[in-house]
Amino acid sequence: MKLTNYKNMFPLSPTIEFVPTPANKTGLWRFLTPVLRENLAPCRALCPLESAIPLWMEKVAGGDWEGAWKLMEQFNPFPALTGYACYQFCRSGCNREKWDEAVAIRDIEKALGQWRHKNYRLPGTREDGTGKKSAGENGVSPRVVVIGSGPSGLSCAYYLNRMGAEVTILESEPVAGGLLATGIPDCRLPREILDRELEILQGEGIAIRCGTGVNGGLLNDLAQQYDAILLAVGASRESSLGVPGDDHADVTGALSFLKGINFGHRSVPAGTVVVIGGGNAAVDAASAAARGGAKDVFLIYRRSEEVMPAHPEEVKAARDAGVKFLFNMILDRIHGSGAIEKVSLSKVQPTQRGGKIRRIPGTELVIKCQMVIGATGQQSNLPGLISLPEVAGGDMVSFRDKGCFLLAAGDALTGPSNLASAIFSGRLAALKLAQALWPRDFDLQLPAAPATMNKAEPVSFTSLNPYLYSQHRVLMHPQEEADRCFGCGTCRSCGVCWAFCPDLAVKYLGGIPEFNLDYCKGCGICVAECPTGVLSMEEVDDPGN
Amino acid sequence: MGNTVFEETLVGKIEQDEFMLSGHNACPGCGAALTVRLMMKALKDRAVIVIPASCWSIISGVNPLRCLETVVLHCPFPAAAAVGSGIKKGLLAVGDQDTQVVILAGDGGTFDIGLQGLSGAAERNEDILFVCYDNEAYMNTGMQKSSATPYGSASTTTPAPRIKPNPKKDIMAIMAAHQIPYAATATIAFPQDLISKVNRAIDLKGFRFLHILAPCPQGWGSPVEKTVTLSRLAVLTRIFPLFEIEDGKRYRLTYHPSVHLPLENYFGLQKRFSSLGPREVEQARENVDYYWGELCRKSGCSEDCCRYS
Amino acid sequence: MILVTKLMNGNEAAALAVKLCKAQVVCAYPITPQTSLVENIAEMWATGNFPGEYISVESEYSALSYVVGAAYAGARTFTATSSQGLAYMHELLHWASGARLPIVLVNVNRALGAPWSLEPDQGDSLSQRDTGWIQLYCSNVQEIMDTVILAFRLAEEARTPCMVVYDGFTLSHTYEVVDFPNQEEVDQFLSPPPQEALFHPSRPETIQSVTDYRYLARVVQAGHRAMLQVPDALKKIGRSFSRIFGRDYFLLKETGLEEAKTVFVATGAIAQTVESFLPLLDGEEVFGYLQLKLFRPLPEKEIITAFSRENIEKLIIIDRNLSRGMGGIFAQEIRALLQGTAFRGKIFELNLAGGIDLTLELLQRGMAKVAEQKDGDEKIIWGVDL
Repeated sequence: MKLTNYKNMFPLSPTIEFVPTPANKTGLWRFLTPVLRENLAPCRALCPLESAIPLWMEKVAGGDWEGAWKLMEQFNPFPALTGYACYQFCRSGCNREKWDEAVAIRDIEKALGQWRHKNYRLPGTREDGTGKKSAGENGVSPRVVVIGSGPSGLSCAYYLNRMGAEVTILESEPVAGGLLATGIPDCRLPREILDRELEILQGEGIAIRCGTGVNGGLLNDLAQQYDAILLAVGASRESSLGVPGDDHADVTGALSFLKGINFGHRSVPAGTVVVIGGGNAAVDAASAAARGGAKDVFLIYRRSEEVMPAHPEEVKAARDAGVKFLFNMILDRIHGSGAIEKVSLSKVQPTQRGGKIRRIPGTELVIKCQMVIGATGQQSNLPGLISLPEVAGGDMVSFRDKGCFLLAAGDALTGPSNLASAIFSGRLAALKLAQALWPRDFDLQLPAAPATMNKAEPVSFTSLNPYLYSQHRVLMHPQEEADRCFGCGTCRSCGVCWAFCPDLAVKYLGGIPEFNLDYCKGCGICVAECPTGVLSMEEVDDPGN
Repeated sequence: MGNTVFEETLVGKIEQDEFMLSGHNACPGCGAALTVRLMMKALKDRAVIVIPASCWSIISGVNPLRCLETVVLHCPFPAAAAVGSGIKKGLLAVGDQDTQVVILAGDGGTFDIGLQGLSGAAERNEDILFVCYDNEAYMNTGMQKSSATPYGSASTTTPAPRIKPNPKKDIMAIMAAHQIPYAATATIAFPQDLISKVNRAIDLKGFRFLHILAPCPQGWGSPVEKTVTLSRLAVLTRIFPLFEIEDGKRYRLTYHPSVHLPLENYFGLQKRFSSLGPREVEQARENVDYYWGELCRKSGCSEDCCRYS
Repeated sequence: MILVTKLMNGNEAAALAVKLCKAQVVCAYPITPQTSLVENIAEMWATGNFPGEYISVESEYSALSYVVGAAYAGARTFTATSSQGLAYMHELLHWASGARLPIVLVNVNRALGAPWSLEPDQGDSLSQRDTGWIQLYCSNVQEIMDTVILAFRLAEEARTPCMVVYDGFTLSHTYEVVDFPNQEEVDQFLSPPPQEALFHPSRPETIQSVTDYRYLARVVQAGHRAMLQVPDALKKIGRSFSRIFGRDYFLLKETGLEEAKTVFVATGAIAQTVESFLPLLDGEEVFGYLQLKLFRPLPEKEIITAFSRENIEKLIIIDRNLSRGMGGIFAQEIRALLQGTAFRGKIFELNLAGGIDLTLELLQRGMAKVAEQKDGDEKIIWGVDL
């Protein structure tokens, strides 16, 4: 039997046409807006090279050595050298120190340099075809001569060569490398590392001529032959000690002492050596003397350890080698007629750097010694070569009206500094010269001073979210260690902002996230949770709002 | 790309697909909204979500809006467990074996007014997943005390200085006493843990219970951007441990904090605890230590770090 | 048609009717005097003689919640309760009607405490008058059996929950001979389950979400208009029922109204009692009686027509319930309904609230009081003196 259906008699509740909530633009609720902007990492803020450390760290952590090298190269073409010999200013700022232990940045840099050394193919064997990029204005490559093969000269030569210049390096010493060869002991920078670096530079097409000293006359000749000259002649003129007896034959400068040791034509007396000075050269020389067989090595510095300019790492190495430090003391006189017999010293009032030194009467003491090494200051070698004040001031000049550009770099310009600063100085010089050599189509591949450097504050620990990381101390394997880098101020594409957004207002497909401001309510969870501090909440004029 | 240390531990790999939509009406910084977003990544679109009176009555969409890509059925405040059980039985009666029925209740609908129905359904071992998103008070109506409100918290019904004198009801012990197949705690700062527990739960039959801590900046008086931070601090201060219980017997700590932060780190971010003196904080610490110790004992964890230092 | 008769009580009749209607989800919580109803279903279910699922839950609140859920999913559902239990279900009664769920619920009348009592006062079901449920009152065991079957069809067609009400003990526990329908007949009358679900798992919707007056006012009005269709629908369904089962059920049952000056109005078991007393009443006077079966919606047209006869001078409305401060609930409803109609007689209220049993002596005493009642006297004629 057919059932009667009265259903249509009974009105039902009205049907609802459901509307998905994206019709509801909750972005209108927002007062502050998340902004993704690269911020300055503290390591980078401390790095004389302004190296984008978190960026290449990320590549190493991901096993992408090639990518890491490409980033590294823009800031520092010699990570093997710095990996051994840099004072790792970066590490003292590492935010990870406040979580477990600072990342061993220099070790990773060294590993990256070693990777470069291992993987570099000499011309004729290389596969990637990299090399000269662009010729000069008329299709001819600019010719550049670099005087001095220290780190700043090598750095400038590297970059100009990469940009297409034909670069020749002239070195007055019989071996290339400047202070790298003559000033840094083998234990800190193994010779074969420097040799490989120089081999690569030559493989890149840079000519290095050693034993070619340059004087004013040759400089004029060079100006005729080259489009640009870089004066990377260093600061090896050592000040005399300025006390009676300082003209004794056994009184030597720290740099010449180190050079003699490194070249093997100087020996260390078996007795006592006194080193005067508080800079890196002094400490290096004291270390070398101690390791070279001296029975006692005293380092005399006129102020306290706290204000001593030498890097603490060097000081520690010297102490480990047995060097004894005497602080707040000053050299009065060097005694001896044939050989040095002794030095007399006085105590002085403790002072800050720049303060006037005052002897304390009646505190004289005497140390018997066979050698005195002075390291109380080095002057630029520039004045012996050229007298243009603009060059000494760091300006580029057009030399002898021949259209030959002249520029100084490195210690010659800045006075004694350090390896990283010298490489940086060479980079800046390359940049300046390139702008002059390729004035029109200058396709710059080099970072100038990065924009982030102009921002005042580096990313602080409190703006990070370390709790997303488990705690580990330094790991031995460089790739694992690089993975410990927080990546301060950079976007690591981790997706945390996406994962924690209650409003599904972050678009994330594995790369850099984007914020959908139609729905972002501005809660700021993404900013609070961001492990790298690359996000911030800001007042933004939003046309959609 | 990414930090592998980081991926292995706290956030992990999270399902990309979303089954919740933008534009919902949760307050800025809502922990409950994030809870459900993560939960839906496991449930996907083959679940029926049953919601009693709670913040989610609003968040899920005021007529005609909807923000979940699956069916949502609303029901009276105390009724969730029974309505959900009925839906499951009804679906079976009409031949649907597969659809998951998931209750999404607040702490009021779980610890308080919903407790009878919850206990009944758990005792009958109804084949449903009961998810309590716990924001520790009646938040939809504006921070009135529930039995999930922790010791020492002020609320509009336990205003300072007469702060809540009793500890939070131990709902997990209650659920364990029902010997249900699966009960677990989770919270939004540990999304992979949360999602994997939902997955674990839906792979099982019978009554399953998830207790998810969902901080509420409005009610807790905490900065809106600190919702996830608070969730994490709750775990790291051990006031909200992450664990699971099988058949009411086998306890397992699913996350053992390697750092043990003092409770002050957690309390300090929330106005609701602002009237606590040192004595009350000490009392709270004792409560937490006792609970943690019991949990370690039951889960067979004998690590030194479990002892409060 | 093979006629099978059986001796059974009201609860057994209801349980068997639920079985014949193939309810898919039955969920209940036991309470006197409903208990034997759920026990009967549980017994059938346990022995494999019940087509659906039976679930024993921890409270009436959960019982109705459970069937609300099952009805959401489209299952044919049934629950039963009494007294406090029905009061405890109150919140869900509204929910079921608001969601237009065709749930069938049996309420076995029992007084609400305090004090505790098992008397068959109708206050429990009548206090749920405004919950949006259809209410059908039964006067004997046969009618219980048949009304449950009618209720499933009516509820599902009207998409409105339906409450079948009968008196505790007087009907629930009293044995009567019942014509027992067979399955084929019921299957002819009632389409097979399930009914229509409120959702489909693959269709993302947010059912019963928060709404404002623009939608809510329409929901309420639609529910009202559906209710207004119930009397006509029930007449038609009743005709269909009588064709199949040979028994008539309409909205009212009336006797002797064409000649009566005095008409008794009653519901439930009392209606049957009054009917049986009519021949026993003394004197020349012709009495009529009207049994009200459908209380919500109140069949206005039919009641007005019945009482608009000129011969009717007195209505004596017997209520076993009381709205304190107002009077018997059926009496008030009928008073209100007859206002402004052709009815010119007087209305008297005999009130048996508290579960007073109607005896012949009590009825006669009531009639005597009706005869001597003057203007200004108390409106209610009480079954007992205070």
